[in-house]
Order: sequence, then structure tokens, then C-alpha cells
Amino acid sequence: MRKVLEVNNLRKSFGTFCAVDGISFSVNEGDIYGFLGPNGSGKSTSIRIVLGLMKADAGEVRLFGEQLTNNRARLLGRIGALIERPDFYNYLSAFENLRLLQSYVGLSYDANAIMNSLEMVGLAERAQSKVRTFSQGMKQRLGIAQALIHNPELVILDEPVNGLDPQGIKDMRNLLLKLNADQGITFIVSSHILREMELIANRMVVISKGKVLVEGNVKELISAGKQHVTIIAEPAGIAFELLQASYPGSSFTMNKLLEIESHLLPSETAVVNRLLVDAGIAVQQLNVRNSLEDYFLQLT
Amino acid sequence: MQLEFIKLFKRGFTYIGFVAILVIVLIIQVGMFVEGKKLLDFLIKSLSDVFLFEGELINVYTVSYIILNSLWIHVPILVAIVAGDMLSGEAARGTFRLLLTRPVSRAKLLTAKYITAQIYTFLLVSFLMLMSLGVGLLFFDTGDMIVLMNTINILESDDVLWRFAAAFLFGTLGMWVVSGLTFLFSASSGNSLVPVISGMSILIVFTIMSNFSIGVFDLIKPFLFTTYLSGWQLFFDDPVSWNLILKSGFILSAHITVFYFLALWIFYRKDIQS
Repeated sequence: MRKVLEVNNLRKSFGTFCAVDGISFSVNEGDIYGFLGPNGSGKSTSIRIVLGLMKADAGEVRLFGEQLTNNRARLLGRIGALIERPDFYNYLSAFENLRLLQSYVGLSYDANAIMNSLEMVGLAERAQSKVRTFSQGMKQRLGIAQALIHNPELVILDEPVNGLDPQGIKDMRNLLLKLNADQGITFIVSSHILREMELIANRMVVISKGKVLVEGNVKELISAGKQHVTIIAEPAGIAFELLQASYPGSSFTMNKLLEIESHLLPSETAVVNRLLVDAGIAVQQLNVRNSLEDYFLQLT
Repeated sequence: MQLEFIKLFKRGFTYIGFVAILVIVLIIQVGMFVEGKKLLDFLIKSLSDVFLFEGELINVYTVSYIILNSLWIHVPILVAIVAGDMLSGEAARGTFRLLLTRPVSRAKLLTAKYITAQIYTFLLVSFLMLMSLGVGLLFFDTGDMIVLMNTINILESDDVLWRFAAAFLFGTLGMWVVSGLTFLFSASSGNSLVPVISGMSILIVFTIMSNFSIGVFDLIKPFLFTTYLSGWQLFFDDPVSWNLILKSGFILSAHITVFYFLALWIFYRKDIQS
């Protein structure tokens, strides 16, 4: 599989603060690649370096197999991006903004392409409205439209669902999945809404304090990690005491509904179930949740 | 560059300078129309004992010259407001992220913006010329022009227009330096006010240094661009000091070039964090 983006040992410091500390990851063609990390982990700095907005202190960025530093302008023509807030020229209309940005890519004026982009994000009816009259969600959608205006092969989106309502989030998810499936566009999506990432990303990297914690296939990583387990047993108190005694120092807790909760590896879950059953405790429910959120919280 | 023009002239903010010049020039012209004779009589009172003045001394040329002398204080501020916003405005609005993630080189973007700022300056100074001479004709006749400098020069009316044209061109060169200076500050700032205030502060401090005859300042004066900003007045001297004009023009041009390359150097190295 062709690598669309390769980041090798990237470093960037601001004074004495090291924002990006030797991170490496790669994105394959056709991926929807989740770029995850807590606030201040170095996500935005890394993305800005990849897009040439910042210069790295060390390391290498290769886009479509070529070094970014030597071919920046040409390579950026194949990329669409929305970085952090969707800021536009507020005194221009949505259409005029896209027309302007279309020209910056070096494309000749194409009103149909602009209207198609606006149509795609549900803003066609507001094409002639000044951006200053737009809500945050509408600006976000316009941000997606500008990233797609020149039919890029790779789209980098930083927090694309910020400011969107639930329907907007769903529409955005469907749009990304459709573009990925139909046009083969590769996406790198940074978001703190982990549920969304779990629904769209096939591969991901998790970074924290400027370092890569893990990179790989989303489903494999989540299933290999600890699961959130909720046990409803009768009698609950005895079950809880038994588990605490059997696993001293473990993370078993009991909530107000007398449900026992913990994070366990898949193999541990089976052993716990057997322990309770062998002790004559009725295990009424054993709910296992494999979520990206749980996995992310364990990592970071 | 066309894109920079679209962005510039689609903003109401851009027209503040033109409106300000229109209002100020009209006020001065109406004031001179009503009270100008008294003012000129006062200025040449001491000379009236020695010289005999005949004809209409308050005419479009004399009034335009007075307007130019007063407006060269205001024009730099109007120029700085737009030039200072060219780069820092994009940073403040966050639109650099949109532009610089496109296949546009930083050098090209900065050069387009620098030229746009300088064309805006040219248009503003041209507007000033049009207003002071063109609209002045609605209020005043033409005639010989009196210029009070170190000496008193009386320039015949058919010898005046070329001097105004040359003075405006030279004035544009001076304003390009001011524009270049604020543009330079704009390259390193994320706030539109900082370049304007920084540029104006330097202009004020340098102007004071250029006009004070103190030993230390005299050593520095030849290197300050402000020493040469009033070079446009030299075109109303008789005979015209071409050597001084050429020297002033060269030094101002050198400043315009240096400011451009410094801005380019700063912008090229700049991390876009906004």
C-alpha cells in the first residue's frame, strides 16, 4: 500500500518546551487516520509542520513519497486542510471566499466546482451570504468545503466536528466515509470526540507529551486493550468482597446501583466470571465495552 | 496580486484613508476660500513693506501647497493603517492557515502583499493630488504661486504643474518608506495595531531627531529616512536642487528595498501559530 504521509522522528521546541519529541507515524493511501491525543499533546504542532506552517527543528516529513521541504508548494496542491478554527474573510460571501481560495490553488475560476463544494456541505443556499452572518457550525462546514474545493488526494482535518449539532456531526461522518469510499480520498482527522473517531477511523496514532504512545489498526488496538467490564451479581456485596480479596490492588469499584466495574483484559474477564460462578454467586449480567474512549483514557 | 487587490478593496476599512483625505482637503479648501486672504496677508505682512504684490495670491497652487504641507503629517498614518494590516491582519484573523496551506510560496505571497500595499499608497497620494489640485479648481483660479521656504519663491503659473507632479511622485516615494516600515512590523506581528503604533513611533522619534540640531543627532541625521521625507518641497525651490533630490530619492529607495528584504526574511522564518 502506498504511503501518503510519512513522518520520521519529528522534533519541535518552543524555547525550553518540547512540543513534539521525536514522533514517527505513517498514513496509507485510502486510510481514515485518527490523530489522537489530549490537549497540548503536540497534535496541532505536528499537523502544522506537516502542512509547512511551522518548521521542524529536526526530522523529516514525506508526502506522497517526496520530501516536504523541497517540494512544499507542489505537494500542498494535492492536500486539503482545515486547521483548528475555520477562519475566513468575514466581509466576503461563502462563494467569494471559495473563489479566492480556488485561485490560490492555481485553479481557474470554476463556479460549478464552488457550488458543488457548497452543496456537499449543505451551504449552497447561503452561497452569497457574508461569512460574518454564519454560525460556528456553518463556518465549520464551509471549512470542509474549502478543503475539498480542489479535489485533493489527502485531506487533513483538525477537529472537524467542532461546533456542529448532532445532525451536523452525523452528516460530516457520512460525508467523510462517502468521499473515502467513492473517491478514495485519504483523511487524517484529529478530534477529541473519540466516539466519532471510533466510527470513522480505520487506523490511528495516539500521542501524548509530544511522543507517540501507540499506532495501528483501530479495531485491533481497542480489542487488545483492557475492556470496561460491568458485573451485576447477586449478592453484590459478597461478589465485590470476593473480587477485591482475589485481586488485591485491582481496580474493582461498586457504584450506587450495586454494579461492579473494572477494566480487564479479555482473558481476565473470563477468569473473573468463573471465580464468581464457582463461589456460587449468580452473575446476572456481565457487560463488556470495548471503546476507543476507554482505550484512550488508559493510554493517556 | 489580483487576489490581494480583491481582498483589499472589498473591505470598507480600506476606504477610510480616502474618506479622511476627502474630508480634510475639503475643510481646508473651504476654510482657505473663506479666510485664505487674511491668512496670506498675515504671512506676507512683513514682506509687503519691501515688495509690491499684485493679482490673486490665493489660488489653487498656493492652496494645494499649503494642503500638502499640512497633510504630509496625516498621510503616513493613513498609509500605515493599511500597510500595517497586510500581514498581521491575516495572522489576527487566522486566515494565514487558509493561505499558507495552499500551494503558494511565502515569498510570492509577501511580495504580492508588499506591492499591493505600495500601490494602495500610490493611489492614496494620487487621490490627495487629485483632491487638492482638481477639486481646488472648483474654489480657486490658477495663478502665480508663492512658496515660503527659507526664501520666498514666486513661481509662474505655467512653471508650476510639473513641480506638483514631481513633488507628488517624490512624496509617494516617501510614503512608500512609511508603508514599507509598517509592513516590516506587520510581518512579525499577530496584531494589526502593533505595526501601526511601532511604525508611527519610529516616524515620530526619527522626525524629531531629524529636525533637532544637536551634535549627536547631526551625526545620525544623514542615515535617517525622515531627513529625506520632506524632499518633495525641493521641487518648489528655484533653482531645483537636483543633486539633493537624487540623493534623497536614492536613500528612500534603499530603505524601501531593505524593508522589503527584512520583511521577507522574517516572514520566511515565521511559524504560523495563529
